[in-house]
Amino acid sequence: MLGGGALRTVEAEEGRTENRISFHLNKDGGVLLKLAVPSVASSQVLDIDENEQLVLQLIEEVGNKGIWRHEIHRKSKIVEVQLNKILKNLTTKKLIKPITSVLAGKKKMYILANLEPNESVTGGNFYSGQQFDSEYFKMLHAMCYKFLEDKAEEVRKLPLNPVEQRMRTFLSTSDVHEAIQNSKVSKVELKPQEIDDILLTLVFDGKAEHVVRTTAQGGHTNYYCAVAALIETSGLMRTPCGQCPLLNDCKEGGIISPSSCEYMKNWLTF
Amino acid sequence: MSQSEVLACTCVLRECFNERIETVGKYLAENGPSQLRTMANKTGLKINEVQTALRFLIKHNMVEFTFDSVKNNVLYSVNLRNIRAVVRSDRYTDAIRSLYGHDAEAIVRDILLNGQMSLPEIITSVLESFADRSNGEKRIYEKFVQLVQTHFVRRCPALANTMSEEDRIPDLRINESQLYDVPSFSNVAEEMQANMQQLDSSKRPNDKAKIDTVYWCVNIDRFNEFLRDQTLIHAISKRVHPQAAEIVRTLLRRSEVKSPGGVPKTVPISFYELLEELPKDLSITNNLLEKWLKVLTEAAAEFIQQEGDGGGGQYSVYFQRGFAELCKAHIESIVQERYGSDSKRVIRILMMKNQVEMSQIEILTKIDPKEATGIVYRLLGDNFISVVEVAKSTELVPKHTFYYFSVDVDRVAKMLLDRSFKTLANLILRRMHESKENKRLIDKEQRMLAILAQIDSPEEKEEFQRQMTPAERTQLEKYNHAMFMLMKAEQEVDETIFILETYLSYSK
Repeated sequence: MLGGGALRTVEAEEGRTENRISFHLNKDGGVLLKLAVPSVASSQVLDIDENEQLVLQLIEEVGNKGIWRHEIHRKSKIVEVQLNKILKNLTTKKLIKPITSVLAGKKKMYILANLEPNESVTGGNFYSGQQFDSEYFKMLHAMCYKFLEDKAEEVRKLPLNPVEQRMRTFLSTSDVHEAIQNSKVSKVELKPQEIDDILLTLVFDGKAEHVVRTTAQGGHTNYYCAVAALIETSGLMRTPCGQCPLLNDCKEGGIISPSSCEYMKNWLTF
Repeated sequence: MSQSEVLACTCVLRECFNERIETVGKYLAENGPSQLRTMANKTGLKINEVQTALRFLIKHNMVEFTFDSVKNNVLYSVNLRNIRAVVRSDRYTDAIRSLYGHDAEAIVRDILLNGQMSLPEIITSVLESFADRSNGEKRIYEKFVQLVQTHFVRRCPALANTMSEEDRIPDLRINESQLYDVPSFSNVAEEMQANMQQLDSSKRPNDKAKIDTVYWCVNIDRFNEFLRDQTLIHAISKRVHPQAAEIVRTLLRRSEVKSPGGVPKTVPISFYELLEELPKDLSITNNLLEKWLKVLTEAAAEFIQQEGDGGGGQYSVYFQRGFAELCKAHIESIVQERYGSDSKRVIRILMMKNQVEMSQIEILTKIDPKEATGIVYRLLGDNFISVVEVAKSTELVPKHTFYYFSVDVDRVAKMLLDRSFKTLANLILRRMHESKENKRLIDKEQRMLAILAQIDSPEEKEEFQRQMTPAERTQLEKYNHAMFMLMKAEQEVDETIFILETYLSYSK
């Protein structure tokens, strides 16, 4: 029975066409018709049973983000053993495929066979397989820093007033993107968001400054410039005691003491 | 007053003075305000030995005395900051030399060496180091006046009333208005003349100071304020530009007379005041100053900000925020040197973003997740970062708990300050050890130098120098190099100590 304000979806299939029309009843008793998105689950000539259909539908709903096996089990309430059979079946029929996310390597996730996994799952261009390619990232990181430094050096030589100097030192994400493309160091084309990620790590290293400027069209652009360190190496770390793991045990007259310290001895002969 | 600070101060006392003074200073540092008799009992020294040590420490402003009327006792307490000022004394004298020249440096060095001196004593002592003593007294006097007017030297509290039988301690007082009151040159010359006559007539040194003699000492607070300003100027010079740093120097100089000590930021200075005060040789026009101030408020926003619009714009220098940035820079540098650049990135993110989950750290740092986890737990184990657990359910199950990592900058600064004091103590101890190990050689070199000064003929000099073997010469070079390294390291560690303790003083 319909309750006041309740919506119920009544699905109607017109034979085996691709379109689905859903009927919604609103509180006034009127009927709303909605054309639903074509569903893989129902559109194909499938010899799959209801449960398999349900599982496929759940996988379809998450799109290219992928769904965790455990999540399918929770939502569908299908028993584990049966669920495993269904997933194996669907995979064999090439309707779905298993993927692994970089964020949770041990979780078994599934996605529709015809879709490519989202970047949050694959990790984007910085991941080769499941592994974060740190060498590749470090190379790009160093390159981006070099571009920013070179720009700063170039602007420093120009006879500009301080405000103009500062403004000109900044490079936008697209400037750096173009520079990387032109240098041809990367075999794949990196996305602007990925360039932003690299430049942000420079900000987190204390090597760059980040400002956001609004464009004439009302959008926001990220700008970065190289920034000098505030201090030289801290005085504490210029002594062997700064690095020493045994400082708490070090005591004059003890086994570990400043007078007998090997680290000190080596450091003093430097 | 941590154990490490006490250790560093006792090392300073032992190296600069002697073991008895160290024993007394150490007892007061570890036990707080104490009586004379208690000190003698506990340290095993005789009463007169403790008195001598106390007299010396009081003269050097390292110990103060008060009268406890409830217990009817005189209590002595130690001033650790003034003991540590010995380590910083080279920085103080360098600062004065750069500001006012060699004569002023000699005055400050002599006062630091003696603790408290009267003006005639200062003039006499400094004059001895002059090659050309013509008009020396007047020159020294004028430099001295300059130092007092800029508050680098101040009067010591003086005896308000003559001590009577009932007084347990002398009544030493000074008004704020008298602190920087210099007597006229003629008065000083008269006093010096009188001293000379007494010296000639009695034919022995005049030990007893006159009751109304004015004593002067170095104003440590003022020197520390100067170093604070220098530190900020140096940071801005690196971060922005040397010319911008000169503008900040002028701003600080202008505001130092107006801002009371210990405030988190200066009194606002207007654009036009600043323009007027800027040294003419910098050739900074109205337009250029405006541009630099705009750049400074963007690129060095933690150090300088515009407070208002009056007078062309009102600008203040922020000590508290500036030193917070410097303190964080030191924490980052220390983490980088100990654990690597990836660790520095992690701790910077945590300092920038306050409470961060592990997954966010992995995404933002772009470090391999396994490595990132290792870094976080290493920093956690060494107390650089802390964790807060927020349970999703009523039970604290790891699977259903949020773990937020953050950095408590005050706590880390205190930990690093402690470490720095320990390092300072170690450097002094090693120095004393090296000197002890090479004592024979050092004494031999001293004797040889004294004799060589009396030999004229070069051949005889060369013959005499062969008394030191090549091996001994090499050993002596090694020793000198070691001493140089240790002294340099001591100064560098003291710079770190200065930044950390200045930051902590503002965050209290």
